[in-house]
Amino acid sequence: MMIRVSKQELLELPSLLSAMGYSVIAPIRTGGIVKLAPLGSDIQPELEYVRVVNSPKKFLLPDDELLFRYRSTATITSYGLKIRFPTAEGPCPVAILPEYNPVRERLALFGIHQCMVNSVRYLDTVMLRDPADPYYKNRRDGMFIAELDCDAGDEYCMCRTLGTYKVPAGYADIRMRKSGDGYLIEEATEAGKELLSKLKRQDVKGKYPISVPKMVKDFELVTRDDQEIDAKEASRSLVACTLCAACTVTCPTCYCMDIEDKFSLIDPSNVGRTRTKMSCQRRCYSTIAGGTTFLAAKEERFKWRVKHKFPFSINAFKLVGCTGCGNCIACCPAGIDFREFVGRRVA
Amino acid sequence: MKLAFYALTSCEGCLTTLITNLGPNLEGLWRMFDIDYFKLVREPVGGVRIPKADIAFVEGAVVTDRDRKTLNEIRNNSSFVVALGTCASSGNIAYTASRAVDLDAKHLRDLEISPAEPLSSVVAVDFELSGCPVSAKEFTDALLRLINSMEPIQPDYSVCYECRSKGNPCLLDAKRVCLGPLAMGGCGAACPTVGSPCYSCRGPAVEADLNAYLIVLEKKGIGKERALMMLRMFTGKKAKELLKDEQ
Amino acid sequence: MIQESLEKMNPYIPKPATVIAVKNESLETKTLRLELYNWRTDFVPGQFVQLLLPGVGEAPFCIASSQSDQKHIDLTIIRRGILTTSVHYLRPGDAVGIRGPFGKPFPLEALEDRDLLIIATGIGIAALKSLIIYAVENRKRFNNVMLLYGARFIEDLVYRDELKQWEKSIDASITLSKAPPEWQGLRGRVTDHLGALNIGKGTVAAVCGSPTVMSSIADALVVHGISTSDIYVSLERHMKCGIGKCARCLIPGGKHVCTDGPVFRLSEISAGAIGE
Repeated sequence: MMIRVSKQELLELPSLLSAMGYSVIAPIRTGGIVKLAPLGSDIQPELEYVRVVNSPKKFLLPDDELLFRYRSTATITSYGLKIRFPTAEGPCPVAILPEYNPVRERLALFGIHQCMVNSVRYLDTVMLRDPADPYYKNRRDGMFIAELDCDAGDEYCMCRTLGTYKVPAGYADIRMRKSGDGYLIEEATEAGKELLSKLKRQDVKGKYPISVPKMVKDFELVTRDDQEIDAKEASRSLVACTLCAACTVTCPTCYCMDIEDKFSLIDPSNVGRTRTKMSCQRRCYSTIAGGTTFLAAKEERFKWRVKHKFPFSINAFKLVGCTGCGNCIACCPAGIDFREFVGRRVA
Repeated sequence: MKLAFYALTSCEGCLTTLITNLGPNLEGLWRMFDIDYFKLVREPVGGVRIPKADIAFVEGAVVTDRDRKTLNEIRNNSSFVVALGTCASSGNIAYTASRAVDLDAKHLRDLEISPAEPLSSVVAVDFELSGCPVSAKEFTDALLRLINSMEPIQPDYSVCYECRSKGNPCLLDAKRVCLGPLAMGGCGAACPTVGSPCYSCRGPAVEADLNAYLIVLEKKGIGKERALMMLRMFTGKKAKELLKDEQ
Repeated sequence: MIQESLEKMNPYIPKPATVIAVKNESLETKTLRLELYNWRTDFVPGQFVQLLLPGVGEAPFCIASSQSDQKHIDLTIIRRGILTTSVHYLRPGDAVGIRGPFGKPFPLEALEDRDLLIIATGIGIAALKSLIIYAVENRKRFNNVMLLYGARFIEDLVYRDELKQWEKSIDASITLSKAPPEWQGLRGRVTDHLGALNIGKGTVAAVCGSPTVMSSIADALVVHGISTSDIYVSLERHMKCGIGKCARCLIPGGKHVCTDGPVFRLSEISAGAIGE
């Protein structure tokens, strides 16, 4: 079913979604930028935008996520700096009794562009392959995606080259696009059908149009192979790289994570195992016991990032890890453009 | 385990931060450790004497002769000395400021002050916790690692890392000087989050690259003078190495 | 059992185990014997577990014990970083957490009925110990079994008692690159002694050691006529999750050491993967 609605009617959808029990996340304009954030009742989602500086990753793989808690019988009243391990009391090692309480929250992503829908697809491929990540799965199950078609990218976009302007089947529950002074909405799943039925609109005849977004700069991919990337010169454009890691932080598909134990002084025997974000641009990403850093130079780290997006992902998941959203270029203080490294400009 | 908290020449802001920002952790701190010296909270147990301690947290820069003497005594009586805050780890504002005034002037000579130095110029420091003021969370993390016999960790990322993950608009894009790419992170990008530029109060990041940063400024069309001035303000002795080509 | 259903639900949750014995192998190396509390393990030689020290962290270690004992596992750990130093403070009775076993093991069927050459240098022998024990326990399933174990100093040698046992059924030799004058065994690097061994086209090799040594051994084996698809290497990387989610153990070529390895055929990984 496809319906035509006015902008006002389209903006009713978020409240309909919350009424269905979803926590709605939508692009919101604030301080000159647009970012995805939980939608309050008094805020309107932004519909006329090109890029969001964060991505669904922020909500699907949140930073500092508590995986579980465990109790140890460690005490710290000892004198001196001595390690005290929890000691098993009797034959039963009661020391480690993990507590795990999955929380169920149904998320709805409203008005995200195709590149971000594709990033969800990539994260799904990584996180849901056997064995599935339970925390990710929990959030992903029953999630609602309302996709909003993007018609023209900015100077950093590359979705046309990568084909990520197409929404893969099953990833968007409804698709929306601007048409004239109103919007066309097409249902794509059962959940989408249920939502649209609440608008009580007449079915519009015809096919949901598919268009290729206009690009400011067009590129074709020339370097995507492991060895080719290694052999290519990159150091010149990287002089200005400050290793701030904005590229990996804002990337919608960078999923590297660290897992560490966190405790508090309130109850040091109560340890929380947490998952925090990690970046290949950081030194500790590739530093191992003894102090060797595999990726020491800027060039190596940049190439590692590009390799993870292209050859590594193609080999491991049969899917390109780059969705062409351009966040890594738009957010780079030095304006380092990986497209010029892996691609060639075409007129 | 015995802890002790000292302040040399400083605003005592770091120790105050610990008291106000540790929240429920503060109670745990007093319950679990013997704290013989924490003047801001209560009368030291042994009077003016520097007590023996397992971990000593020292705030402030070394400015007066008395600071020097106290610090040496603290070092002799403590197994592990942690420099608390930017004054202690790099000299902070006092480092540059004290070198700009004539300390031999008559009204200053009697105060027995010399150019401010970080703790590490006087004694061996085991670990440095930067920040102006220090972050209560980082203090807790460092303490908890120490009592588990692990060395605390310095953040290896810059302020941009946390700023970007909060989704803040970049101040450099607004043509404002922000030291984010150079500054050591861990503060949660407190200043840029409220729209105020980073002054690198925690010192330079582990892999700070001044050359790259200056190119970035040039690309954005921002003059470097203000940036260098801001860098000298808080980073004290630590900026010396970084700025050696820029004098 | 509760623990197993919990693991199925959430692979991040460790299962409890108790340290029942600590053996000093060398100055820097200890072997922990862990009793699994209320669960059994079903591992194949070459697989690893994530060892959780409460309050310290987690790190991967290859299982260094017999596959036939499902109630216990041995881990041989050399003192290197924070976690491994903490391991050295463990005493019998202490509780630890175990996740796993994880990873792709040695393809035992592909090794059987052939000449098996096991080359280990340094602490790399810990990753191969379960395979050696398998070969000793199932000696009839293999033709020739050769073990070449290299270390620098005599003090670095581990598994001395076990080596005496193994020598009875397999052809084991030890070489020291910094041997003392009274040393009776081989001298020099492992690659110096490959020529003396009876190896050729029908031989399969299992190799583990430090990255640089491993690539030179691999090169030497290829020179001796073993095809790259018959050389198995066990790689070690920094890893966090163990289930291919955190991308910390990626190696060039886009393989995850935790799920695609730690045992790789030399032919399936790119040349730089061992060394990097």
